[in-house]
Amino acid sequence: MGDQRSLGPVGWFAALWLGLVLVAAVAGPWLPLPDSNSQGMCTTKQPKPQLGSDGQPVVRDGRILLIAQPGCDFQRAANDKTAALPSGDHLLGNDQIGRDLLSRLVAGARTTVVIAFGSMIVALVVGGAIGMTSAFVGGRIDAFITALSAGTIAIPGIVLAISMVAALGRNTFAVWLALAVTGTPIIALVTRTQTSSLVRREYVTAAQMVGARPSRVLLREIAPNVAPFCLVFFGLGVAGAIGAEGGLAVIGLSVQPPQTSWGAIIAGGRPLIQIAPHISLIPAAVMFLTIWSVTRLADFFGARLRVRQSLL
Amino acid sequence: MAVVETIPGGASRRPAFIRLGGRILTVIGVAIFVSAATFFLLRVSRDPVDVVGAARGADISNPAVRATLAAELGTDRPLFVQYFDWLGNAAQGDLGVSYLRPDQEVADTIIRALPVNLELVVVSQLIALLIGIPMGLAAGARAGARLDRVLSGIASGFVSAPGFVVAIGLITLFAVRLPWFPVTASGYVGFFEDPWTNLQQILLPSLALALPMVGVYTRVLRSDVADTLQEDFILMARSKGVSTRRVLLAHALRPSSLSLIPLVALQCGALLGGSILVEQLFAFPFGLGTSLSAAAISVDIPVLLGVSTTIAVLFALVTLAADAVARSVDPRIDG
Repeated sequence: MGDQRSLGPVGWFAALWLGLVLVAAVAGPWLPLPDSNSQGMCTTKQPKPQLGSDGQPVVRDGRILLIAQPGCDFQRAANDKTAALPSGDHLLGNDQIGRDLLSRLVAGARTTVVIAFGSMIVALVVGGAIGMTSAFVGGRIDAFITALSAGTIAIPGIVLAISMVAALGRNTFAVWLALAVTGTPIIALVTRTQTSSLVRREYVTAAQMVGARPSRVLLREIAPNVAPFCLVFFGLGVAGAIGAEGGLAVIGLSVQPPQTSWGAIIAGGRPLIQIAPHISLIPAAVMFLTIWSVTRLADFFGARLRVRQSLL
Repeated sequence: MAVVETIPGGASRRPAFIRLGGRILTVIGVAIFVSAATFFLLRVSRDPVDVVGAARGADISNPAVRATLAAELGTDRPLFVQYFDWLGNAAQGDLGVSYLRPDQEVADTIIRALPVNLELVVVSQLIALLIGIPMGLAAGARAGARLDRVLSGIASGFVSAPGFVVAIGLITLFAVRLPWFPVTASGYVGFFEDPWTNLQQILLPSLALALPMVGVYTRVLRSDVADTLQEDFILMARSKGVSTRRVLLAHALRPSSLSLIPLVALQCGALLGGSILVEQLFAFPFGLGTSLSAAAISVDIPVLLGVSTTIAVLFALVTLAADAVARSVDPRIDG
């Protein structure tokens, strides 16, 4: 895919977007935005009428029927055309109960970034340690850990995550833990494969022969060479975790109000998709761009790494 | 999954029935592993008495009421006894009844839901292969050319998009802007009742599930075909004057399909997971995902347990079948 030595314009765009999301997640509360939970005036574009089974607008009492919503009154917004237009106050419009969508997205970025990066950092540390030790120790322990990891991966991760969140409650901690647990065996397997290709290398044998303790060999000789590979999979894991959190939120199994996440905003706008498609569409696009950016960057560093490894 | 043993020469290969037996044991192992993990996880952290009591409006602070409820649900026995009880019944096809709707057998719920998921998996795989194979062939045939870069770019975009995100885009485009398809599948009818309506309802959800897979198939096939085209037998075929189209279809696609078959099976697992979300977004009235998400929110443990185990077993069976197909296509696979 193009030149693999430099990021290129597409790569820079990905890096820029990811930076923007991270800044929004960190600096969110201090940004000059309306409160993400205040239900302001509805400034959504004019809603569309509710369609009947024959595809024609449903007319009742001589008025075209619009789906009534709590809070932000889309019915009134449609009749009162001044309130129905997007304005400079709400760059991306409002959600189903009149909250500023941009503020919601920034608040959601915080949840999503904390959960996705947080869970994968745990998966990276725990899975990396397990995988490295497993390959280093070898024998039955290695076979057992490999079988256990492979067995866990054999279950669709979302199924495992759903059960965990159902058990632990719908909060940041439960989602974070569920994604960390589903991510750990993947990182463990990748690290194990990578480590086992290194343990027979000359420099590792040399270190062992001069009498270095196993912990020193692992940390000083093997870890630095395994870490870059793990980082690539960390990136892919973060991309997966953003999608997984969104998926859990779509089925109502992520953080609960007043906290929000991108997936929760998508799910909230879904019933109104005929009247106000932007509520779901904008967070979906934001989520897609973010996952794409992370994947793109991970792919890029992975490709560079292979080039470097082949030179070794 | 299992430790792969390669026996040189292949003379001492294990007999097929032992291999099959081992595979079936793996499926049973997966079923026990998933059900035990789900059971103990849920039961240690949630007391069914709370769930059922709250749903019935019973006075769950009263110890006597709790005791009667626990006796009725059978949760006053040791956890291990309850688990093996469940496992024994499950082996005979009895997955218990829902906590919240005691008239509903979990097994019946699953049997009612399966056709929806089966249809989603089959239709989306068909769409993905129909789009992915030509895209992969075209990109791999001239790796590095402009067409390859465009197709690879599209593929990497598809790979990044979770099915439910694609679903939102598709609904907005093809159900709201262009009212060609229904916005939801809430009025789902089976294929054999009304094929036309059924296909209209199933097409957008299937497409949402298919597009990320198109990305995966295109990428894998592209690099595979690009590698295969470097082989000597391709040069041989070309020098004999075989047309490019024939070289691609007859000489390059055949060996590449070996890596595609296990991938298709692997994607079935991702599909079962992804269809949970797509079912929810399209508001299917029933389906494994619809049941699972409803049960997760209401902590309906028997339904959660039954559906999770079913999905894991289905996935293990698909993997087993793919393994068998890969073996029959490529006799070099050993072990």
